[in-house]
This record gives sequence, structure tokens and C-alpha cells, in this order.
Amino acid sequence: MLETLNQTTFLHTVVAIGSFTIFTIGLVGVLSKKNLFKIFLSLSIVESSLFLFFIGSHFEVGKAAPIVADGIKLFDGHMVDPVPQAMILTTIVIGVAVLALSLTFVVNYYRLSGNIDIDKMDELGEVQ
Amino acid sequence: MIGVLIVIIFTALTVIAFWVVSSRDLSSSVIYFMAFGLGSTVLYVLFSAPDVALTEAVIGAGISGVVFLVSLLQTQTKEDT
Amino acid sequence: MSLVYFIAIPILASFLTPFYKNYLRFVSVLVNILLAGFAAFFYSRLPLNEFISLDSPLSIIFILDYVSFFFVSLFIGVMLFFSLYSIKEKNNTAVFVVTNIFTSGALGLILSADIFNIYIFFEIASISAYILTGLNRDKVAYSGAIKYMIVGAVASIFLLLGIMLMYLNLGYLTLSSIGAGFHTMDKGIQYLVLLSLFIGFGIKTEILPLNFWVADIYQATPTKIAALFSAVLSKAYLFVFFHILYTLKVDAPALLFLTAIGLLSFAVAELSALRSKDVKRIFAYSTLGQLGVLFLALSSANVVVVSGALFLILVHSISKLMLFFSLDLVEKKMHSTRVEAFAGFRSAFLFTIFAIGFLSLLGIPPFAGFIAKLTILKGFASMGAYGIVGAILAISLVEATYFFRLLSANQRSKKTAEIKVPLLQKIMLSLLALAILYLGLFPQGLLDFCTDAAQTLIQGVIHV
Repeated sequence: MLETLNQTTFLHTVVAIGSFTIFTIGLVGVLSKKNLFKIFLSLSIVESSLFLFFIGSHFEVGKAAPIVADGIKLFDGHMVDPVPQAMILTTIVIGVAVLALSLTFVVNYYRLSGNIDIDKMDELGEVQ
Repeated sequence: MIGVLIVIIFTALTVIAFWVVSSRDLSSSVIYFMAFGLGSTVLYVLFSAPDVALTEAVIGAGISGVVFLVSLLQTQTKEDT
Repeated sequence: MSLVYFIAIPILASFLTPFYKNYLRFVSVLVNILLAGFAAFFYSRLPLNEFISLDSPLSIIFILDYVSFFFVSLFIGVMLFFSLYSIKEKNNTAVFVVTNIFTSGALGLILSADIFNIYIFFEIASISAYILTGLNRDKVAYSGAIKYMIVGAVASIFLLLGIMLMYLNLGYLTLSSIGAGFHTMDKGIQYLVLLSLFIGFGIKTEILPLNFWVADIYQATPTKIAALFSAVLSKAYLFVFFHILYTLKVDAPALLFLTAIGLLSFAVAELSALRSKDVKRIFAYSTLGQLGVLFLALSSANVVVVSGALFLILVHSISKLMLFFSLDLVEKKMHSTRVEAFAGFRSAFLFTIFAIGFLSLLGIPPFAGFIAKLTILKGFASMGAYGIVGAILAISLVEATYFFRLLSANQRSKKTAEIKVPLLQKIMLSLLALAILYLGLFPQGLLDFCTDAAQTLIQGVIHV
């Protein structure tokens, strides 16, 4: 029983199903929540689920971290693919920059209007 | 062993993600969000991606959580109505 | 000489702002002139690739071929025009800081030929666009920026999903290798990738089911910046989307779907413009309509139609610059962009500029828009798609209705304010009008270049 749990293909299925569930939860949050903080929290959750999916799908049981040290001079078959990890590092940093910018806008908007509900943001739209 | 850990943590993450989205109290939402970041840090370590784990711990869980908390304080909102 | 300069110089100019804080507007003009010089330098060396580090499947590649050269020079031209036009605004350092980063993001988006760099520049361009939207620092601007950020975050999530799926299944990041391997992928995965790319880029190229947010954002943005969104940002995303699609060699049903979406988008946007009572929103809807036409034309995979579409991209950028910049002058005087305010100004010069812009967008000779629409329609006729020709003509009638309604509203109603256009603005706007007239009378040189560019675009990025 526990042996099947350690197989790479099984773990990839777990990663796919798990991150898809988290992705859906986040997306439902983005679409259904009215509070701006909730929307941005949900967006962060969706992003994290993508990162988990990408790193998890490149993981294989028994392979080491792609770090060249202690006499190992080359990336080879004993290590997991380093490219996704480099990509995700970049993406995490971009994500937090975007998040900080959006929360800045939210705080500034709140100071001017006293409102944090997306349904009550009626400054824009067709004039009557 | 690693398989059991991954399955357990993934289940926990799903539950935490649901709490983040559904909780009515905003500050506990943010705390759950930081817990979510911590859980994914452990997962990255298990996926043999220690560099991503470090980044996620510092930036994903730490800085974003702090940014959220600070802006919550600035707007003095507590409840998601 | 390296293609990286196109990206590095504007972003450096922004980051070094503290050293010349009060002179940034002059520096931006210089930067854009410098970039134009680079573009001229590279013109005789087309097409060229530049590899940075590592082996072929993983290296960072920049490509400057005919079609990306077309977009690069168009964007540099627009940004140079923008910085010259606003050179007298002393207190507007923030605008130039962000527009320089914006330039670098848009140019990087055009030049990069691997999907992860495309994602990075997608984000850089988007972030600078968010900041530009919130630049007015009032309630309206912030609410627009927040809406824009939510929609934009969804777009980048789906783009990232598409990129991840491609890397998972192929193990490549460069466009040429992905194009070679795309059809070895599972059919279901192929459609999933295409769907994610469509959602990601569809939001950003403002195409029908995903463009509900556009008019609001244009309304919230400062009017001159809205011109940049219309002339540069949406065009950059449009180009990258079709660059990827043609490189992946997607099959005919997918392209036909995009054609239908484009036509629908054109129709719905023009009908919404008819109902609108705010000139800025009308221009936003008109942009949406033109983007629909471009979508329709670019997805045809026919050299004549695509060359017409490229010509239309240039003409539309020039016309929208004219319209939005003139509207900015009207807005400064009347403090509103409502139709009533638009009807109340008196200025023969601005009226002429508006009229030329409208006529060119409608495709009336002798203006350049006529040549663009004619080429597109000729191409569709040669493909035997007479239904599309008829539909485009019919919808253009709707477009004509609201343009002429605006002009006649200004002619008939009582004038409340006389607008004196400053000399610099007068010269710049006349230059644009002359450019439209010139391109309408002598289009051959540009059309030839557009044909070369169209061939390059349809061929896609080939294996290097």
C-alpha cells in the first residue's frame, strides 16, 4: 500500500488533482467575493496553486535538488530539472510586486472613498 | 514515506485554501494565507526545490502576509460582509 | 550593437531618474531618438537573431525580423511623439518614469522569442499600465486601476498556465522549438494550451467575451495615456498572440473561431459606441471595434489581408493619437468628456483634426484608412469570403453614424468656449494629419514593407 504512494506517476496525479482543486477554490473566490482583500487573497492562492503544480510535475522520486556542490560539477540525471525552479523563483517575485502595488491602490482608494466593496465601486460607467 | 507526506500536506493545503476564501474575518483569512505559504514551503522542500522553498517562505508567506496585514490595518476593515 | 539596448536603455533612463529629476522629459526625448537611431541602424541588417547564454533549447533569444521591426519602429515613433508632445509639462516627472518602463516592456514583448521572457515582459508592460491608469490619484483613477489589476492578474495567471503546460509537455521554452514540437503533443493538451493563451491574451487584446472592462479603464486613465494604451499596448499583445499562434501552426478551425470572435467583437463594440454618451468611452469602443477588425484580418492566414491589417495597425495608431490628444485639449478646457461638452467647444483647427481622424478610421479616401480597409477587403474577396466583406462594410456604417453624429453635434450646438491650441500641439497634430494624408496618397512603399512583414508573420518563427 505505502509502496504505491511513493511512485512518481501516482504523486504526479496527486499534484495535478490537488493543485487543480486549489486553483478552482481560488478562482471561485475571485469571481464570487465582493471584498477587495478577499479577491486579491484568492488571486494569490490561484497563483500559488500554479507554482505547486509546475514544481510538483517536474519532481521525480529519488532525485536530488539541482545544486552543484561538493565535487558535483554537472547537472545530470540524478537531479530534478532546474529550469522550472528558476522560472518559479522569478514568478514569485513578480507576483509579490504586483500584489504590493494592488494593495497600495486599494488602501489609497479606501482613504478617498471609505469603501472596500467591489460592487459599490460605481465611479466608472456610462453617465446618464 | 515521502508519498504519504505529500498527500497529507496537499489535503491540508486544500482545506486551508478553502478557509482563506470562505473565512468571514479578514485578519484570520490573512493568517490562513500565511499558513498556506508555510505548507507550500514544506512541499517545495519535499519536491527537492530548496531554493524555491526559501523564496516562498520569505516572500510568498512572509512579505505578502505582512503587506496584507499592514494594508488591513490601514483600512480598518475587519469583516467581509 | 545588441538588441538588448532596445530594452535596457529606456529602463535605465527610468532608474537613473534621481540624477536628472527635473530634466527627465528631455532625457525621454533623447532616449526615444536614440532608440529610433538603433532601429535605423538595424534596418539594413534584417532579419537577425540574437542568442544570450546557454544552449539552443534554453537560451534567451531576441528576434528582429520584418514584422517585429515594423512594430518596434511604430512603438518608438509613438513614444517619441508622446514625449515631444508633452515636453512642456514640467511637473509630470512620474509620467515619464513610467512611460519609459512601458516602452521597454512593449519593445521586449515584441523582440523576445521565448515564452518565459514573453511572460516577463507581459508583466512589465502590464505593471506600468496599471500605474499609468492610477496616475490621476483620485477616486476614479484608483477604482479603474483596481479593476484593471484584477482583470490583468487573471490574464497573467492563464498565460502562465499555458506556458507551464507547453514546458511540461515539450521541455522547451524557445518559440521555434515549441513550434516544431507542438503537433506531437496530445490533442487535448493542445486545445488546453490554446484556450489558456486565448484567455490570457484575449483579455489583454480586448477581444469580445473578455473586454467588458476596457471602456471603464480608458475612462479612468488620463486621456493622453489612453492614447498610448490604444496605440501601443493592445497592439503589442495582439502581435505577440498572433506571432505565437502562427509559430505553433494552429489548425484551421481554431483560426476560424478567432475570425468569428473578431467579427462579433467589431459588431458589438460599434453598437455599444452608438449608445454611449461620453466621448472618451466612444473612442474606447471604437478602439475595441478596430481591434476586432485586426483580429479578424490577422487570423485569416492570407498575405494580402494580413498586410492590410498591419497597415491598419499603423493608421489606427496615428488616428487614435490624434483623436485622444485633441480630446485631451478639449477636456482641459471644458473639464468634461461628455458629448454635451464636446459639442460646446469652438476651434476650427481641432474640428479639422477630429474630422480627419474619423474619416481615416472610417476608411474614406484620400486618407490612409481607406488603403488599409481596401487591402483587407480585397484580400478577403480574393479568398472568396464575400460574407465577411459585406459584414465589415455594414458595420462600418454604424461606425459612420456615431462619428458624424459627434461632428454634427459640434457644428449645430451653441458654442460656449473657444479653445486656443498652443503652437507646439498645433504643429504636432498637423504632422499626424499630414502623415495620414501622405500615407493615403502614396501608400506603395509602406504596403510593400507590410507585405514582407505579413509573410514573415504567417511563416512564424522558424527553427534556427
